[in-house]
Amino acid sequence: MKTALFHLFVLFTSVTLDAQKALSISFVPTIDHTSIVLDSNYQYGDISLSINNLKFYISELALFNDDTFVASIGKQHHLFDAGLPTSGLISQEMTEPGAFNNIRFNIGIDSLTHSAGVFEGDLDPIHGMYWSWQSGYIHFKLEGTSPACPTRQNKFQIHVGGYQAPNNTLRKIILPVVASSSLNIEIALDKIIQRMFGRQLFQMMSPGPTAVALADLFPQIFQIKK
Amino acid sequence: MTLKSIIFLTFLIGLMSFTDIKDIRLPYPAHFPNPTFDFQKTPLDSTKILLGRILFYDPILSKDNSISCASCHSPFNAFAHTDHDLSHGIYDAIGTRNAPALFNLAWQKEFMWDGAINHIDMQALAPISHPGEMGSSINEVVSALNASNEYKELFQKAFGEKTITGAKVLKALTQFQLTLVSANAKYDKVNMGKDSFTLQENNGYMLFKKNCNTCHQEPLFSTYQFANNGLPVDTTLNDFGRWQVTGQTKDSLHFKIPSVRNLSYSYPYMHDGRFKTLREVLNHYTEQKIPLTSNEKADIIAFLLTLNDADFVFDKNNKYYKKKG
Repeated sequence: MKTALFHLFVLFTSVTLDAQKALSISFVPTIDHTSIVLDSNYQYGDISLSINNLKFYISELALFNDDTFVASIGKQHHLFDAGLPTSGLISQEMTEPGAFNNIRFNIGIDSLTHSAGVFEGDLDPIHGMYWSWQSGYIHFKLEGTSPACPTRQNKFQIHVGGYQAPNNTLRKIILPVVASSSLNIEIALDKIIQRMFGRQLFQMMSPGPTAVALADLFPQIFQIKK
Repeated sequence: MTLKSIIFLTFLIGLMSFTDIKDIRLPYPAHFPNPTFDFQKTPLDSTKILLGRILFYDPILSKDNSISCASCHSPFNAFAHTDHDLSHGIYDAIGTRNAPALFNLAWQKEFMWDGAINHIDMQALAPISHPGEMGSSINEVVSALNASNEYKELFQKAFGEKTITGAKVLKALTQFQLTLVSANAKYDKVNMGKDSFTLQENNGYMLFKKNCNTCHQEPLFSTYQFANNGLPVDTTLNDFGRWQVTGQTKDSLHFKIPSVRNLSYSYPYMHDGRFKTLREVLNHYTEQKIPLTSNEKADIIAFLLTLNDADFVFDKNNKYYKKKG
């Protein structure tokens, strides 16, 4: 039944996409340019690892033509969850998209939303993306295991958050694109993995300079997949 | 009476009770400032308040169904935990801080002794998740509530939806807690011209304004800022307060200034409950170079007692509310 519903859903969306002019953007996390599958083993150089959780917030996704705003895509805040394949696809029906040559979005949640109380949907603290002991969303979460981690059960847990200066980890991403109705964005986790293993950074769960330095990698890991 | 007018009257009564239910205005006296909580964005609603009240007293929020919010925030103690220096949790765990009294929360922006929580909606997440408090998680709470038909009905009434989400649980708890207004102590009655201070109380009031009011500013009796009041760190706890939140050394040993309303109901005092009596508290401040004679201390205490709000503490609308089942 579930699969039948899903097929119906796909059929329905593809029909409306055709009829309505839609733009869809997909996010695909990779290691060494290979899409990751949760809980599978990867050999990255001499590092072997497995990722069992990858979630992050994509906020204010929009099309721009140079510096001119063209259109918003999807909800203001979108939770990407590698465990939920549908969460990697954001689409927007539009009548006249207009010319655009770059897309922009934030990784994380802005400070205004941060201080405005609780929200439903993707921002509900139920998704494990909110710190309970000190207010703040986790902007980016990467968890897994590696025999090289000297931690309990060889786990690594990277939770990047912090919304107040000087520890703000919200990062703006700007990607030049050739206008098209479907865009694929690759999230190359390589640099994050290199940082983790290079600096033996396997547990990060609070805002601070280490989180800020890791967040500085975000603009480098998102790229348009050709 | 014609049938038509009966129908009209029924409609009118229905309408009245409806307007009664929704759009409750937070009651507070004229000498209070405007609340900091944005009631325009999130108005009070009696069905949500009632749901929040039921949740507040329900141990379903804890891992082993043993601890409710009210376990450490009892209405008869101005929602503090009288006679316990540090808060309690599941499996007889003892926390590191004194459970603060809960009232006039609509005038506060940051919560917890160190201000780690930036909005009242988010506050409950901390005790729910803390292993030494309720040891659960918002996910577990939502699953437990979704398994209860009674709660589904209550959420349906309050939010128009049977599906319970984390956001709805937190919003309901907020609604109830916002209604905890303490504004009818003798001090308030004097302010409203309904009562008058004794000579000693008045003398204490003058001394209070001179020596205490900078931090414990009337009429809320706190600025709700953070301050270091000179208490040496308890080396069994090593709690440095706000510094742990901001990472800035200037905030070391800074704690949120508590209101001095309802002190008789909410002892012991200070962030770690180290003082059992007001005399000990005042002695600490005289050691901190606030010059007060023994008589002056007695007068200040007489004034502080005018801040006890029995109407608030014994308000039946704040007490445990029994669900149907």
